[in-house]
Amino acid sequence: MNSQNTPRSDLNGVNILIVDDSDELREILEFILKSKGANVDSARDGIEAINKAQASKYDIILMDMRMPGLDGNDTAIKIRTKSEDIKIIALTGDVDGEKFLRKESPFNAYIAKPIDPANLSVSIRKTIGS
Amino acid sequence: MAHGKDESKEFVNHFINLFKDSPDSAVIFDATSNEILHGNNTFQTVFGTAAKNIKDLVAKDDLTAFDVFKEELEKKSQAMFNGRVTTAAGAPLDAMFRAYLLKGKKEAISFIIDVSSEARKREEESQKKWIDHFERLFANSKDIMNLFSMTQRKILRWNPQAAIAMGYSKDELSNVPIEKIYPPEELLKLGASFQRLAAEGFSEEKLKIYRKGKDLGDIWIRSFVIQYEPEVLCLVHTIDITEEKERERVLLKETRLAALGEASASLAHEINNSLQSIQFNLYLLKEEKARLPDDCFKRLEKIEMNVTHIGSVVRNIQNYTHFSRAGKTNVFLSSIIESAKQILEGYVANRQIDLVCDIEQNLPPISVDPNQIQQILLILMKNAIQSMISTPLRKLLVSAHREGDSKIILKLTDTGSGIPPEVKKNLFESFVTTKPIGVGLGLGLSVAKKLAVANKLDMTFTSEVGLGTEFVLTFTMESPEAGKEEAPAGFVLLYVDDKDSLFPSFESFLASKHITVIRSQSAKEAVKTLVNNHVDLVMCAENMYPVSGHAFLKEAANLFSGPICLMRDVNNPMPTGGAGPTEIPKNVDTLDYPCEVENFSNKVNEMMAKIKVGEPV
Repeated sequence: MNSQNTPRSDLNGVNILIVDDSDELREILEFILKSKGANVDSARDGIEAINKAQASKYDIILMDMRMPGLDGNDTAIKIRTKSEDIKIIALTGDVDGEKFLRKESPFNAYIAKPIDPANLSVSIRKTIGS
Repeated sequence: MAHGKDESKEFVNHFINLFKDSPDSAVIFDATSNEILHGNNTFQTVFGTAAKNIKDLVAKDDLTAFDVFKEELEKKSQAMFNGRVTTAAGAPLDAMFRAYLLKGKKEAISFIIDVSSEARKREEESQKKWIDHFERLFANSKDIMNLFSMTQRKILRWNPQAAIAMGYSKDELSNVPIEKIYPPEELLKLGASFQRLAAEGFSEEKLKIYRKGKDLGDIWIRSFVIQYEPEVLCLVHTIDITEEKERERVLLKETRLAALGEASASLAHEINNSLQSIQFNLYLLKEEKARLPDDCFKRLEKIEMNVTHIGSVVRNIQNYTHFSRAGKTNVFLSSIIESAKQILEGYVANRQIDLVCDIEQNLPPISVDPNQIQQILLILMKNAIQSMISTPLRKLLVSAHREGDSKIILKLTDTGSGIPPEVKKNLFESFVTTKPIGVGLGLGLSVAKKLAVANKLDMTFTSEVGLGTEFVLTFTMESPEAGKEEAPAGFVLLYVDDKDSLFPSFESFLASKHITVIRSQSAKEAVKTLVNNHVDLVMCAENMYPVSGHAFLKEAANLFSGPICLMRDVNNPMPTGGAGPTEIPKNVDTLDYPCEVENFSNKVNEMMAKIKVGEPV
């Protein structure tokens, strides 16, 4: 929780793709992650995310679940069929978060909304390491 | 004057002689003062020799009527009055006064005729007639009937069904006072209803009644006057609408919940997005601690605390209205308890709670939805911990043991503050809480109860204020008979069809095979189901809109490798060739439908056999 405990550069060099339809959230999340040293790219919908995931190599994708058009789940399934090793974290307001951890789920982990920014880099590191 | 008085006296003496031996009471009294001047033998026997004033004989309730009688007597020289009088022995007597002013208009003579025995006789005769009638007519009625005397304010007869419906024996019921049947506020309604009945001859009312040994029930009571004279008698028809009311109540609640659920899902999404933005911005502001004055930083922390609180409130409401169907699998209770324990680890440590688990070794697996059971445990454990915040002893014991062959009993026993008796009654209702404002919404236990019902387990509690609370969950394992079925229990079948018409006929077959069915109404929904759930076999309609069964097969090929059957609509076949790729892959079964249950079940058995013999899945 304490800002002194999370060094600003703890995501140094990590390539992250943020997928969220809310401009405000996408931009601020991008800002926070960049401030921690990550290389951040973002997509505002599922199609853009699939294209970007194919064009570049990311270490991890942060995926909002509730999006118009292709939702987070469908987008993740599509990305997963193309690149099996990519790590995808679901950002979800759903109370039943456990379902993202099931074997059949295209996600590696989930972060419950509202996201606690102080724990964000820990969750990302953990997922990349797993 | 003197002459006139003498004449009057003579007249009076004449009457005295005339009625000396009359069987009715006759009395001569002063028409102004009501003073008794002379009473005949019968009068003296009935009212005594000491009676001084005729008005003193009249019962209190009838005094106004007596005054009216006197006025009329003065005006018309004769009058009549029915009223109740009191005899020398103190007994009440229904009497009829017939009075005449004597010559000179000073004295009056009245005959006080005892009508009580006669009236009673007439009433009895009419009652008997109606009671006979009533008993004959309603002996076999399935509704509750009674015969009520408005005059006597008394129920004369109940029919046999009344005692059954109200939980009394026949003899008991006839002696139950009305206060034991109706709650006080309902008695008021009943009173008003009777006034309408008297005025209009008919009335109806929906009321609550106490039934012996049961909860309050609801009745619909309709009354008719069947006789006005000599006694007002009513027939009261009572219909038990308890179940109907209960269904109405449940339906209303479910409807409200469903609406709340839909509203809260989108509400939560909106609120969460805004909260998220606030939280991110707060975080960035707090990063600038060095540049901020100390008091500003403290205010930021306060804002952050409240943002966290709003987040948890939203989550609670989502939890309450979100009920996925129980997806049952065979799991070990110990592993559910273990994972709940891990989730609460920090929570328990921070509050210095002594959490003790006593789980019997080698408990058999249970068939439940593990996530939902875990949710119940988390709710109960959190409640227990919160109730122990200010108690000297803080111990939460979680124990699980077998009971007999078919039951596992899970107990959560705390040493917390306990549940006050007034809260116990509706503990499982929503928005009931003992926690301080801001700590809980009162949704947890109602969620837990709902989940328990969905998983077919029994949940009870005992609690003593100041000593603690114990919740008991009883898991009943399916009888060994069920286990002998040829098909192993726990198969999950995904049934995909955008039409509803056929499924109901297959349902009982699937249930008899202990197959869990997940239904999807579209190909898109079915793909999601395959992603999020464990599925053993798939039955899919071919002709669906907008995405056909064929398109689904393609999607599913990447996600699912178990047996799939395409149900081909014989009345509405998909166009072959040209219109799209409709060739059916080799590994996909087909079934012509609509079809008989037998064909359907044969196909499912065939598919299950594939899984059993271990063909590649």
